[in-house]
Amino acid sequence: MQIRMSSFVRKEMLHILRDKRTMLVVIVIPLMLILLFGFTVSTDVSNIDVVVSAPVRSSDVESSVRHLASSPYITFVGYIDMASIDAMLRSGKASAAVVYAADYAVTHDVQLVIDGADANTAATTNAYLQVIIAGGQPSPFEMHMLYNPQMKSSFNFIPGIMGMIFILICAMMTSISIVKEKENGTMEVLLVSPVRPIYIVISKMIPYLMLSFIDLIIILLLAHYAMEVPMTGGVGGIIVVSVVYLVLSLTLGLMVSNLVQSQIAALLISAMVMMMPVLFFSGMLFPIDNLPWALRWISYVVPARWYIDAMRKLMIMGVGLEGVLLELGVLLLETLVLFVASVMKFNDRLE
Amino acid sequence: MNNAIEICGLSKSYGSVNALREVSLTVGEGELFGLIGPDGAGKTTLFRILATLLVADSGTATVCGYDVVTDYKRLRQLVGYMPGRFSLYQDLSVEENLSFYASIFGVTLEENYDLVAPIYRQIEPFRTRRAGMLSGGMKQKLALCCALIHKPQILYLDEPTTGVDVVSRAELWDMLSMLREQGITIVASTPYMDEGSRCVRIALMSEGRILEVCQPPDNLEEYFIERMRGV
Repeated sequence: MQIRMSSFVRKEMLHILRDKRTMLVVIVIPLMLILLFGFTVSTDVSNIDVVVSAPVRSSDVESSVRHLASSPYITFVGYIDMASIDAMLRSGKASAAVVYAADYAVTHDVQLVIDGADANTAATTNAYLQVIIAGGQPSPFEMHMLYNPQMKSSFNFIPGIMGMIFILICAMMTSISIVKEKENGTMEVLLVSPVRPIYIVISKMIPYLMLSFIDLIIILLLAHYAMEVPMTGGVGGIIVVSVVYLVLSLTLGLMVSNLVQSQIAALLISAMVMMMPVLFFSGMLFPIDNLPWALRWISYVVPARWYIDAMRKLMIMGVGLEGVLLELGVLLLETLVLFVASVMKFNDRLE
Repeated sequence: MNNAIEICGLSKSYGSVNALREVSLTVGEGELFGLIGPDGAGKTTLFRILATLLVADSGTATVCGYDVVTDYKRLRQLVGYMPGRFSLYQDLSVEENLSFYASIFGVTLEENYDLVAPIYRQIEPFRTRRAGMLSGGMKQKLALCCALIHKPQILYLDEPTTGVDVVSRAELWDMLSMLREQGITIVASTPYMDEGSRCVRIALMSEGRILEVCQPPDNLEEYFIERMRGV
């Protein structure tokens, strides 16, 4: 059986190497997504245009404003009077205004007026301004933003993109490649052979596992060296959890290929039923706590949610493997259940 | 003569379409048996049942003494099956296809080279060419090699000559006669009446039924049309 498996794997590698589109999907798309989300698309807020209104320009106010203006995230536009704040924000010349109380020197009261048209940017601006202003004055709060102090969105996106790419390669590409054999009639010939059909599909998984492992390494290198994701929790844990997720995605692909007969159907199911949940239920775009309760329950069975949670902890919070045992356990359990189900469901006849 | 294939009362329907109705048939060991009939006669369904790919709704079939439903795993080592549609990997070369199919049966091309040699020699000059780039006739020759590479006791050929030019068709039938001399039982289907005469016995099929099993008469085409009208 050893020889047969290896000749299957060899054949599969030939298919992949000779199909330029597959190579494109497998190598270029992950790179593109990482670079796109990591560098270009970003919810980071920088160069916030800030105006200041201070009825009394005491030395305390001026020192606070100097501190504010020196921040790399802030562009200090100028002093204006209270009445023109609204006009400044409306015209887009400023996106936030800081209003110092007349008795600022005594009370340290500051009012923030923020353009709230884009809720996410407003929230970030608010957080930045509070931290910066608090840093320039005596305050009852000492603020520490742990793990991602600069609130870099690439930190948040990288685990999400990994969750998506591995579904793309492992689940989608594998299911398409199995269904392709059905469509082309080659499955018919393979079935009338002594090879246990389940070996046929398992040996199909191996090349895709290898390819996605290469992708994993590329992503980790990019994330660490180009985007400075810390990964203080150790690369070992990241790789262990990722490999479990890879196998899980391959099993999902096998499941899909059991259910459909055409490559188009496999593509649609993989994209709609498997990639969409990664976007919506993984916390990549929207915090899971903001989901309605019904959707939150669904998110508990979406593997990407657990994987991305684990990756955040391992890559950004810097915990070790022992900190993600729950996530790892859930992923292992789901892998086992899916694998048993799809092997049992695998049809070694034509109907 | 022992019977290689015994079919008794096989019926199979897809929804409301009756693909096979009460088909009974025996094929002797070492015979070259032809299934002759128009498209939709049920030939492919019959092949798929005999190749253990489909399970009949009713009736039984044994091949080499093994039941096609209960002993399907053992049978899959003994039969060679060439589907009606070209079912090789178009992106693999001639040689890669052949060694792949050899390997899944646990044999190598070198081991069984003698068996396929008369056919393989004709396509060997193109062994590095992708299967998808071959002509129709050469594709069928390659498919035949792939179905033969593991020395099957029984060979099923579903319309091996459809879409193949006249010369290649004659060559393919010559090869089948040669294989028969080596003791392989062959069941082949064809929609072409003239090819029926190359068989030892033929079964005339129409609309899921076997009209008649006989030795090919001289005027097969007229005979068949007469029988069709008679139903």
